Amino acid sequence: MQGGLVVGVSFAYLGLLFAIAYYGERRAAQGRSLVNNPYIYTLSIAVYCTSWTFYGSVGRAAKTGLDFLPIYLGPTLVFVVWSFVLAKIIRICKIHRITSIADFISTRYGKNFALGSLVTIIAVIGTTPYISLQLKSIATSFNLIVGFKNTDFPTYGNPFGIDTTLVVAIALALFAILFGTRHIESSEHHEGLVAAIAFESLIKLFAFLAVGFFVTFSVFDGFGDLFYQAMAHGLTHLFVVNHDQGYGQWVTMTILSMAAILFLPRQFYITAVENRDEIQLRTAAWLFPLYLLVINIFVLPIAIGGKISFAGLASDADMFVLTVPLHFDQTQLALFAFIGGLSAATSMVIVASIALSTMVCNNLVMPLLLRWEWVNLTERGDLSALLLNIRRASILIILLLGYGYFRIASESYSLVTIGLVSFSAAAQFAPAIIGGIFWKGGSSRGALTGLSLGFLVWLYTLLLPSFAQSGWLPINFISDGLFGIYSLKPYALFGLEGFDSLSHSLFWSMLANIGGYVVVSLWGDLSPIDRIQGSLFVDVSEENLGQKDSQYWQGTATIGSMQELVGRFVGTERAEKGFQAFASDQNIVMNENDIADSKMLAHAESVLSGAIGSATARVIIGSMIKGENVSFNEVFQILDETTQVIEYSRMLEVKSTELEETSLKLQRANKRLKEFDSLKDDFLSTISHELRTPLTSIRAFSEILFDADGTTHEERQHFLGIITKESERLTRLIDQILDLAKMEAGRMNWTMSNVDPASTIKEALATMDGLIKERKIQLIVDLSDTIPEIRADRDQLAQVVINVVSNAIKFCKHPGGIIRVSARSHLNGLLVSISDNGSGVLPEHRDFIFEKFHQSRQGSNEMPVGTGLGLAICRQIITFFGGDIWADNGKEGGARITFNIPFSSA
Amino acid sequence: MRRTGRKKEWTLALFCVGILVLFPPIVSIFDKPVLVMGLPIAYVVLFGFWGLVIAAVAYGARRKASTDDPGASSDSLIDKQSDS
Repeated sequence: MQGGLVVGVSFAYLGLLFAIAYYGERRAAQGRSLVNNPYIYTLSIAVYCTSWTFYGSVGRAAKTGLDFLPIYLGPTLVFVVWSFVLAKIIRICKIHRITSIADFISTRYGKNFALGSLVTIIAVIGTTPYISLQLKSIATSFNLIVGFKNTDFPTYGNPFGIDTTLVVAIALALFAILFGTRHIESSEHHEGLVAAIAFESLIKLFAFLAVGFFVTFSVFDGFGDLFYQAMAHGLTHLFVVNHDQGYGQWVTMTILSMAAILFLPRQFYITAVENRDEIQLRTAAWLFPLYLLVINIFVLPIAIGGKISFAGLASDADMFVLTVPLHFDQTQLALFAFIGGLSAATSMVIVASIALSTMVCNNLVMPLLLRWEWVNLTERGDLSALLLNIRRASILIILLLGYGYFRIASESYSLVTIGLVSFSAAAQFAPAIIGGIFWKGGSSRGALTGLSLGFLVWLYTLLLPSFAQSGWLPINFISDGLFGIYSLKPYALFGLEGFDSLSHSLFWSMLANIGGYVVVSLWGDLSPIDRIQGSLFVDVSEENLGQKDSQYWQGTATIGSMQELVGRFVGTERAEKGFQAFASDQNIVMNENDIADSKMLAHAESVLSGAIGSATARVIIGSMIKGENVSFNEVFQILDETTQVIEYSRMLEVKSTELEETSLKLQRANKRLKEFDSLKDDFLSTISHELRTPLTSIRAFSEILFDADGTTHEERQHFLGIITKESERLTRLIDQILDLAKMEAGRMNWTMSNVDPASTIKEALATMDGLIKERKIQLIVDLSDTIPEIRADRDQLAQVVINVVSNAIKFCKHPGGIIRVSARSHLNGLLVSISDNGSGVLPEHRDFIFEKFHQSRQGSNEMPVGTGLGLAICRQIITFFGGDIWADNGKEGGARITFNIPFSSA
Repeated sequence: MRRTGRKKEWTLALFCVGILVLFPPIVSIFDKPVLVMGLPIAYVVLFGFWGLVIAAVAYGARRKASTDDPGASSDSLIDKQSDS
């Protein structure tokens, strides 16, 4: 085929990509996004299928049968658990404005600069061979399609006097620079880029399917014929996963590809950073594995077709996709296949170089510039141009590195082997990331240790031996080990033999990586920022999607200076817009001279993170505000979910304490109710007893009078006297009960008026005169003449005096009783005390005597005197008058009842 | 796979089944150079199983019809770690 035609078509294709990307950007600028749908998103994830898939799978299938499949089965398994892993990673990226996988790891582990740089270095070293692999496939396929059956064309064609591969590399760099570094905010989406990548995914799928259909249905007569002929040609060893070795490599490759789909820098970038909306993952979860399945259906048929077509001829199985159509003179199909391979290779190179350049700029160059030339950097005006230029230069350098590696090293290796070396490097990120999103205990030192160890082991057991095989290192490095020490043989470290080199390397590197990560993380205490970031990453959920970042800044920088700082990195206009949006979001009026609060500082940091990565952003903000980090305790008030949970459980605790208190109250109330119940029972039994006593005697004497004829007049008089007295007592008792019940129920008819206490007491005492004289009791009355009036019911007040005095009469010494009644004003109130010279009240009875039916007995055998209601009524009355009544013992040892009633004016 | 609100368990179970079928020893059962209906048995089983897994994922990832589904809370993209 004409070299000029192939070159022309190739560059026309690249031109088409530019046009699509440009159109995508235009649409984005107009607000009519081209790529904001799950199908474009899925197709962009299919950047996973590189020229390795397009050419390499067939090559591998032609040699070892079905064991190319793990590379696609692994991602399928990962997408089974998409809702655990992928959705979580994407959400974290959105919340923290993650720009790359290095940024992710560095942000998770306390925005650690060293960790970010290490990840960047591993990613660059791991990806360079992979990029060179793509360039190699472009070069090889180009030479094949031009040189096939074209003997006068040299094997390595330079139609324009320069290497086509270099031209392609530079064109790709140009594309990546144009559409991958449009804005400084790398957390923003590059719509043109995504549109072009999705288009490339379609092209490579259709190209591969076209070749597959051609081989299966044109060269052969369908699948049945194809496999039958394969059997006839003795190719049955291609029908199986494993012909004779074990399944070690099968398992290893599955595990590696599971890590690769998540942690290859370009996959992470396109799946997580360029994701528009989490919900698109729902479709991609099944559509992307389906894409993989479809593109793989014809791998084995093409491999078998190639094997049969070129039986006995020397041919590169890696290029069957191209050479089989060429063999059957299908030049147009071959050209389409070539374009398909080109699209597979270019999409990988473009995305990988953009992802890597972001990492190099944000996690390697900027932190170093800040450290070494901070003063110079701050004196510069707009830094966004500098940032973009660093990124552009990185893209160019990365592509030239890949090209250099291709020129020097990749000749000796097949596509698949180079790809697997890259996969193994990406797998080193797995412990730090998977641990980081599921385990809060992972520390930055642990991640640093694990990554370093895993990387070194990978370097020693996989990359260096590949250099040795390429002739860069003496080959006896492999056969004899380092310094001739056998136990250091890179393919049989410490004497571990019987594994393929890949499984061997994966085992040792993961042992070192996971071991280092876990042990060192467990070893020391977590630093506060590790702990915060840990819980922010592990507990990420829909609820805190709006919550941007942890707020642990407090300082004295003004809002104006913060805005200026951010503006230097992301552009003044963009910074101003961002700050305005934040202010209107928070409903605050922004004044340039105000001190930026911690929320504002966190916002500034997150905007900066989106542009230059979290580690750098932290250093810049930190040096700017000259404040201190918020103290340890305040840090824990940060609204991460842990504290919310703690807060919640604390609330629960409070609630349960309240509940406990309430139930205690209930218990107490219940106890009181029971007491009241028994009190009621007591009341009833006492009252019936009290009624029964006078009734019994009335009945007894009535019966005597009724039956006996021989009673004398005196006797009759006596008996009738008793009956009358008992009836009176009964009446009094019932009156008192009624009174007490009325008072307790609040239905007593009180006739309140201003009462002169002295005269009332005198009157009351006068009614008792007869009884007192009869008992020969000496009554000493001491009434002050100047007692003001009180507000009371006159009759009831007299009743109180009568009740108390009659009590005193009952209990005073007999004979020789003395009763003192005194009344005076005391503290705005009337104070009346009535004391006798009886035996007094026992201290433990002083409260009880005011209870209903409490009857004091003078001796254990004596009958109670009185009804037991007098003092209870007194208390009701006095309490109603607003006073108090109490009992103690007087100077003479007798009981003293005292009550007070406030004056009416008071 | 009814929508029982226990998608998390179903997902993990599917993942385990995938690992189980694709890893030895089960893979060695059908890994024989034999044609079944004109196709290599390993080819048929691997692609067939692959397709089934994809169908299961698609079934599990479909959007719920109504929001008052009792399993709605567990239907968020991330199942909260705290409930485990």
